[in-house]
Amino acid sequence: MIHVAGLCKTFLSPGGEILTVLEDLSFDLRPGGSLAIQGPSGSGKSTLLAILAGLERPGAGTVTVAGRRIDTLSERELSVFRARTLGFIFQSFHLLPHFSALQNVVIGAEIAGLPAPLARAREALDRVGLGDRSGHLPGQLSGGECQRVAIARAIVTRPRVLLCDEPTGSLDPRNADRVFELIMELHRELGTTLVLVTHDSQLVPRMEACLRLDRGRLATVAL
Amino acid sequence: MVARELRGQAWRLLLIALCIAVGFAAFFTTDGFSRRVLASIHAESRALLGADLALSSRGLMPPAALARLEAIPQIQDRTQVYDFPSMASTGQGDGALSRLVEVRALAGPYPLAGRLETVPPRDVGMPWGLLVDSALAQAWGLSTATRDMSQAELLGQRKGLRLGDSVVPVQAIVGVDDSRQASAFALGPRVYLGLPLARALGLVTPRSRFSGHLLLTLRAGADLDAVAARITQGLHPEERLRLQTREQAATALAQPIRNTNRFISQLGLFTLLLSCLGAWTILATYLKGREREAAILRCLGAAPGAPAAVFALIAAAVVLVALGLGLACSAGAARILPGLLGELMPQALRQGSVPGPPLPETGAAVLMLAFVILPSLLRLREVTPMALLRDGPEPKARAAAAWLCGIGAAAMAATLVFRNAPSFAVGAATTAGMAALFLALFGASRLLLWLYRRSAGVLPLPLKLALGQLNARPALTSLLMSVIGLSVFLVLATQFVKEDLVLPLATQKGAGQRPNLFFIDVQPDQIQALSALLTRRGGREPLAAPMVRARLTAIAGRPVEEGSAAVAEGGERGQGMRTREQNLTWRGRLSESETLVAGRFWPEPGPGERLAQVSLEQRFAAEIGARLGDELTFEVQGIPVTATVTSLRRVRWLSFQPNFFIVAHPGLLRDLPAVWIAAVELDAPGPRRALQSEVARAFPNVSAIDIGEVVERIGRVLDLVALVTRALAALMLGSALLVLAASLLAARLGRQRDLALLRTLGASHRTLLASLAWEFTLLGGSAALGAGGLAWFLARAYSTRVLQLEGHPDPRAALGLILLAAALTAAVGLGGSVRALQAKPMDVLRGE
Repeated sequence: MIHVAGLCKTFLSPGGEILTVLEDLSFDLRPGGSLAIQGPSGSGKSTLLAILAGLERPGAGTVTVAGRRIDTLSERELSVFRARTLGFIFQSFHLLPHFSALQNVVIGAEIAGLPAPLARAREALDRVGLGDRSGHLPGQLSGGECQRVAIARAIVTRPRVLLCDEPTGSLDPRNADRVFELIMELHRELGTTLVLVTHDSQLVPRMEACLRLDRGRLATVAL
Repeated sequence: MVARELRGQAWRLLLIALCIAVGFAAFFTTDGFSRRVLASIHAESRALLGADLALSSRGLMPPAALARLEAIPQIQDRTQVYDFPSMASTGQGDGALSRLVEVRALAGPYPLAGRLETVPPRDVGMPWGLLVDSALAQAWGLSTATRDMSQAELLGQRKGLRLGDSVVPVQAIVGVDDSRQASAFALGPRVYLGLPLARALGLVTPRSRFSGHLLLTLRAGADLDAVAARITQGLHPEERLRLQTREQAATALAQPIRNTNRFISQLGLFTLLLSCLGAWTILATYLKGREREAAILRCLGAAPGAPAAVFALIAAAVVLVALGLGLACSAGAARILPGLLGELMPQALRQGSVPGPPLPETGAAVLMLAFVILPSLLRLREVTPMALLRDGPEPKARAAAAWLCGIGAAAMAATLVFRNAPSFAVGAATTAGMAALFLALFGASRLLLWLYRRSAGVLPLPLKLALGQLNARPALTSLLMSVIGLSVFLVLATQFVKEDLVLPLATQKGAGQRPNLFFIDVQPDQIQALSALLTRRGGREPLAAPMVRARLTAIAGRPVEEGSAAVAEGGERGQGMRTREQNLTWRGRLSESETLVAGRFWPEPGPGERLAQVSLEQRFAAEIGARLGDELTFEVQGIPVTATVTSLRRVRWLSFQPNFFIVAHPGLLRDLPAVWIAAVELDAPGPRRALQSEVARAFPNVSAIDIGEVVERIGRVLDLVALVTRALAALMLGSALLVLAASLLAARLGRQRDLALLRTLGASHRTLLASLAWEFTLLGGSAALGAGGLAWFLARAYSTRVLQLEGHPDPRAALGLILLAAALTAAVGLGGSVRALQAKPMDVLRGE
């Protein structure tokens, strides 16, 4: 499902210095597989996630996701790719504050151009157990509920790849467990490939593979 | 800390300062201009009146009154002047030019105050010839004569003018005449001549119609008010004399200017209030965004009040910069404005010094800003270090303090409005009107946002996202829409009313129904010949009406005399309307510019039929205190005439057709001494001048009044008011756009996050750009559309109900402005959001 080969990424610092964020990174993940990405701050986790999502261009190397070389796609093609192939879950939920829970989910389906977006959104909300809270604004929901709305938004398009960036980082342990279990359940039921960036070492054993990054290099691969 | 914040947030703070500065600049400029004009009028009041006191009469000054004045030792100099209109021409043959002029006959040294400069310089105390206005001299190519020239030489060499039946040499050309500076609407240029000469020429006789003025100056140190009181005490009612001091003359002259000034000042004040409202929103957003920094400062050990003190200093710096910018802009405008006004503002009124800012009003505006910012600063004071560690309840300013600040701000706003109003009632009405207009626009904005939210579900994605953003901060969106709407409203309402005023004239134009050349004092035996001449030259039969001069002696049996009960009704204006000489006409039917509003107009009379009935113009009837069924008694050259008021009419005065307050049944006045008035429409000035000359040759006693120039002048004044209104409304629109830009800057992080999220979800740049374009176009467009509709509705109501015009404002005229407002808002909005769209999504989303 995901094939990364010889991936490099550098940035120019404000002082004109070239910073290497990712260096010759290669790995594969099977369809329906799950991968945890770990590493200290500044190790390149977010950059890798951004490149997998097509939000950043690699400096060198190839990135193939769901059978498509995303490093060669145009901006327009990348937008369509993201909308139809990927689901995103963030640490800070990132719901549109002025849209209701249902509208937040509908937006995902509409951007992907799927038919019957409202019905799909209702189904996704039911699936995360928030069917009765669909009319609430994010400000009226708890942190755990907000994250479940974010999960519903991520799965409403039935993405082939789910990218999660510290999805339990902002939650208390009880809610964190619930949210993680929900993600794993959906991963299994939908057969979605799961990529999870996390600092929580306790979650890693639940994943099929783990990449540990250190200063942009692959420090450990645990399978 | 303050310096660091000022450096780091320089652009944002400067933008906020600009928002406030626009309001201060508009207010200082309009207020300064207004005060400068009024101060100039009062400073020049002596020169404008040409004396300290003026005693006016309706004929020759009674000798008894002159004798009484001799006994007042404080009077230093006195001179009599007599004003009357007369036809002047350059001769009698073909090619001679004629026009109505204002003649001032002098019976003493002149002027007693102010300047009257002639070329060549002449002592104008008792001129042997004419002193001619330079504009007339230039137009007719007149030059000065010598005393020994014959009539033929005078007319042949354009060195003399025909006045009445005589030819008078031009003694000098008048260059500067202070007493004429204030005459915005004169019937014609002025010529001076000596009273003995005027009498010798038969221009001033006991039977002539003219107004007399006895101009008086006082000795140094004399108390003007005391002398005025003494003269007033000695006045006899039967003499019909009226005393005017230089202050009263200046006040009377300033009144129409004051009203225009006040309207413009109100707009300036409105701009200031709106910019303060906008600044409040942006400063509140800005200070809310500083709560995290306040928490950090508290964590580092800062005292509870320290963060609030820091940001209070920053807010004070912003207001100070805004004040400085506003002052600089108004000083610049004060230099440019007189040049822009050009000939519309007399020279004497353009010479006043530029006044400083009005300190009480400035203080009130600054206090108002302080009141609106204070709750946000109090919130900063309530921020605790724990806010950094966990999300808790938001810090809230104490509710009582917030309410007190709100009341304080409202009180300051009301103070500004009331100080700018001529009376408490007007102030209250203005406050209520402003509040109602703003609330109407604000309410309409909220309703629109609600409708947008309700309909968002079925709309395409970009539109849905746009409506979502508009509803994200409904209070701010509504405020922006209201400010944009107000500016559009002011422009369109002024434009609509102006069109209503001008369009009827324009549509009448060319149909012979909008006369611009009037011939008065036509004798009954001349009217047929004159009508024939006018029909030949004008291509249409002229509008003609007989006119009987009369004096009202009783209303419903009550005598109309000075000091009588009937006279006491209706105040000074009612008294003036009752006791003045009345012009009556007779008609068998209503004219095209009249509408019956009460009673019954008599049917077309048969031969010899005579009904003792009159019809009154409705406002005139109210002012003199006459009602339907009342009996009015007139005196026409010693003959009493009594008639019953059987109908009231509304007259469309702006039709410029010959209309009268009092219309009598034809049989009632037909046998009484009358003169006729005839009017024609001739658009081109050339044929109008030629016709005047031809009529002057054929009918020397007939005077022509060309109101074409007056109409053009009125049009120019209306254009000026519309221009100033538009300029201020443009400032308001600019202010609204600045508020939009500043609010975008203040809420940049939230917008950046939303856009980044949508990009992560797969929304393309194109979709997001389209949503932004929709958002700002809807913001500006719907605000302008709503305001345009309101302006159309209210302007129509004002035109039809207050001005009594047929209000048909063309809504298409508003389309351009609505589109412009939408386009400008979209441009500013897109310009302010592009950076947010370009930010890297992951950087934005992980940065929070």
